[in-house]
Amino acid sequence: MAKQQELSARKLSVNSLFLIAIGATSWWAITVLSMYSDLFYDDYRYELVEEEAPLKTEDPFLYYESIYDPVIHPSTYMNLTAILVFAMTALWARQIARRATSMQADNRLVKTASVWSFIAVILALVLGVVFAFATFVSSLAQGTGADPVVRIFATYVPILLAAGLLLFTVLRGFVMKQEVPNE
Amino acid sequence: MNEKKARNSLAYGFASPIAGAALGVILGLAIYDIFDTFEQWTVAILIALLGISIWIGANKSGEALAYFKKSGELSAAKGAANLNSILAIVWMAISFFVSFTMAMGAVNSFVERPDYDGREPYNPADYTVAFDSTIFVGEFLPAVVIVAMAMFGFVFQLVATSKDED
Repeated sequence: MAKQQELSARKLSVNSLFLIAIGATSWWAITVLSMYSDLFYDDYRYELVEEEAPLKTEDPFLYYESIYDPVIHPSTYMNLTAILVFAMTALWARQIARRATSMQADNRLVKTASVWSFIAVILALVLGVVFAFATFVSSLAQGTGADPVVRIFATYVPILLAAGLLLFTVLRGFVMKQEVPNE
Repeated sequence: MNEKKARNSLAYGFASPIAGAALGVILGLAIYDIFDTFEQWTVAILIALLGISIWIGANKSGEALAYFKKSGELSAAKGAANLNSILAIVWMAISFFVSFTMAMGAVNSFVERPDYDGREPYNPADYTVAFDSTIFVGEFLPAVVIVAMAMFGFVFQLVATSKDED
């Protein structure tokens, strides 16, 4: 019976570790995809400007002037989705690790799974904070003249969603833990 | 497992990651010297080599730890297991970082810009994003392989180093 319980605890711990790995790989894949999508969206548009040359004999000077014209980047929401996926798998892994701990707390693999699921939840929180802070700082660079719709969907909504995600992760991970069934 | 086998496992636990790292460095240098290039797939192979050597070390130190836990002589076995655990963490973190930068480089390589002869003004918006199978296979695919190796290999390493019984 004890042997059976140890095997179950080990199996749960392995599942928990694999969930973290799947979450981290998904974060990587969605983030790389968001970088790819960024190639199609530019916050600047370029207009050809013609300036007269200082000497009448020379040709006029031509160059492209960059004009700041921010757009809503899908990558903002893709990055948020990547963090969401990682946070959810980390919370799930933590729940499974807690179940394994309740079955056999002194097992080395169970302890490893418990520690790594905790680290994964903390990492998800750190990623969420970095995302919200980076969005806030980039919004300061935009200034106040941006289109209100772009401003709302590129700045306010992602920050609010990130805050919601952080709150949910903290509460689910550390405060409102789900009951751990022994079976 | 008897004590002799456990001591052998312990020795392998310490030796395997060191031998793997040395072999990886030598192999990498040799490839660079012979072919005068360092392709992304070479990085993937070297990371795989290092990962396998750490996994063997973790496996062997895990076996030794499980045996010495019963006999009470724990310090050296614990040292080997901890060494391999730390190496596994470092390996995973470096591999993840390498794969991420490699993928970023590959994504940027999909951008094609026209050649300027110097007389016409440079237009930063004048570029196309085109799928290139050579870049995908040569630069992006190794990044995918490395991240998968880093994440799932790390789990195998942790499981190997966390053995409690034979």
